[in-house]
Amino acid sequence: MDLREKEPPRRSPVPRSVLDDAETLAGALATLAERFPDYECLTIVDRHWRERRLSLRTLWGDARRVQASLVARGLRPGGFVLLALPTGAELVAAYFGVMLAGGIPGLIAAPSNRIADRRVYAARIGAILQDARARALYCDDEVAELFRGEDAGLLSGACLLTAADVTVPAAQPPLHVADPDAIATVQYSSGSTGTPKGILLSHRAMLNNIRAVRDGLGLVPDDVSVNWIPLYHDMGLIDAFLLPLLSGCPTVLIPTMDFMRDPALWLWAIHHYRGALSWAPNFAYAICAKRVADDLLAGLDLSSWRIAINAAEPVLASTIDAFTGRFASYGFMPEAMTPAWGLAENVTIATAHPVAERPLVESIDRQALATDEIARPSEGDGIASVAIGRCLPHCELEIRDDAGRPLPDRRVGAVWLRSNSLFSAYHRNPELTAQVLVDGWLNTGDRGYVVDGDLYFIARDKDLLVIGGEKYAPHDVEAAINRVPGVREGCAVVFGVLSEERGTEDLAAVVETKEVDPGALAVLRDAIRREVTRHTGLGLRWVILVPPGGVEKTTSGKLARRATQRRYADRFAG
Amino acid sequence: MPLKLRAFVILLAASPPMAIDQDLLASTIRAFLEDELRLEPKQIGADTPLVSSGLVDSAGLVRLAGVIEAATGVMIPDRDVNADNFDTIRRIQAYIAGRVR
Repeated sequence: MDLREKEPPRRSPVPRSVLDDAETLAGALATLAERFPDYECLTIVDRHWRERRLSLRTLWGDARRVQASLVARGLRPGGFVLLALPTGAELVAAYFGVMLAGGIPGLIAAPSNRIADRRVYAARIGAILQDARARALYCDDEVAELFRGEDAGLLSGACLLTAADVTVPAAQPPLHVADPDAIATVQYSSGSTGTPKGILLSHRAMLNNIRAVRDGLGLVPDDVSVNWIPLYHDMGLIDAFLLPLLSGCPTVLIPTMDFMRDPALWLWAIHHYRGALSWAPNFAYAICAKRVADDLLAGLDLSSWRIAINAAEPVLASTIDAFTGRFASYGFMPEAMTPAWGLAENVTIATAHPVAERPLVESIDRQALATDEIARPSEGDGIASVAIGRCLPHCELEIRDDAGRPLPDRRVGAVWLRSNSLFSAYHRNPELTAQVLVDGWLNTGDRGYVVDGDLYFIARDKDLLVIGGEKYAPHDVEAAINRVPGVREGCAVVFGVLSEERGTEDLAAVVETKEVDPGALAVLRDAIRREVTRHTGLGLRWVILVPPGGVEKTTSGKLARRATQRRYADRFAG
Repeated sequence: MPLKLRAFVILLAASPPMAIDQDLLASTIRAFLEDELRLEPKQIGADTPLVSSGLVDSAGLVRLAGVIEAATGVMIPDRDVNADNFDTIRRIQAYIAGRVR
């Protein structure tokens, strides 16, 4: 790959006041486009080093055309539009175009990212469209094909839009001026029960979080941002895209699939564009540390990389060591590695480790943690626990016990969060909203402890699967297993088993069956793997078949995933 | 990337795109499966289902496509990365041969 012919992005002309003064996301973009129309703020580059640069004038014009096309199809303020597009200029224009029309955009994964079977994917998108009562689905031709013909009913009345439908309008509809407290975006996130939750975010909350992250990290407009994380993920949409763009930073985006095919592309893009800021889940650092051949790294220079955020799944001390160790000789600064923590209900992150300080790792006593829920420092063979940051501006944490009382330092409990960027509600689910939002505080569903203002993560409260930074509902995987003949229906559990090697969790299942014949068991195991991959795109690393009674249940008959995992813990070693 | 897989990728990349060595391609795929997915290469025949069996998940499939693309120089569009084209070693060989023609 010859990179020398390509010029790195220009310096930024944008002052920080643009973001400081913004009241809505579309308003911020309008100001940028009006004042700096020629600034090529956005660069999209793929694995063949094909590059597309977009000026703010182009971006604005594209968004206006999407706006006109949607208004012509009946989109009114407050209407939902789902976007199933890969990272690219089209998605960027569509996202803002929906907002210019007063609509609420929601990004969802393109099929190649997650789901193996196209019909399963179409059904899942159909469920979200129906739940959102969406006005339109904007997607590429590949997805559109799924909804033409016999599956058209899955659209639930939403109109189907592809790039070919976006044309120069005869008359441009007026810009919608949004209220700062109106909903700007719906973020879909897997819950443990199955149906994705629609997390409603206001303009005010999103802009507050973006400003808090900018100030917490000390981001300046000349910092170049380089990212491949998917934009349908909260960290992708906000931190890889809106944060740098609205802060005036040169923003480089790589389609996620291109990184997945060639992880070294990420590192070389940082090298080439002199990237200062990049975000990724832990597994991506593990892949780069362990799976990229030396000869593909000759000449690599990562010395520009000031902030390497590690978030969206548990941060492993072993991954930090492996990555910083391997890339130190390529100029990677150990203090650049920046663990962080957040959740979509707070827009994105709420804590980050101080920039320019090395990650903080402590060893805690296994026994004290297990029996007393105390994180006591240990001298010997303890658990390596990584600090995932201090509060960003306008964020506040409390660790609470089961009765809701605040706990002192080093006591493990539920992590509660208060900030000026909390979500407004779960779409059409006031009960669930009331469960997690109490007196202005958010129950984050994570368990952890605090020491001198540093947060440490212990576990998720809910049985959610987080694999490679993406959330999956165990219920969905178990439902697929329950459909396999030979499985005792309702007697399958799945959970994640941490893999230090891969830097993320492997998927494991414990499944009850009355079969005893070894041949039949092998056939059943294959069938279970096949169904799970077809429905979720995930591969089962472990399938443990057990006789009736082998899966733990609570006294009320509910599946006890954690207890089952503990019972068979010795089967998942190695 | 482990040495064995990398060695196959380099060997394959050295051959001209019009004359892709199908045995070398199969060895590259087996080396990938052996390492990245911790599968025994002996278990994997030319017709062993990889994707439809759940042995290879969607992320693994994308990585495999990346390795094959880098090694053969044959462009593989995202929409072609699916079980129809990649379910067995034999199908992958046929797909790549078809793309070269």
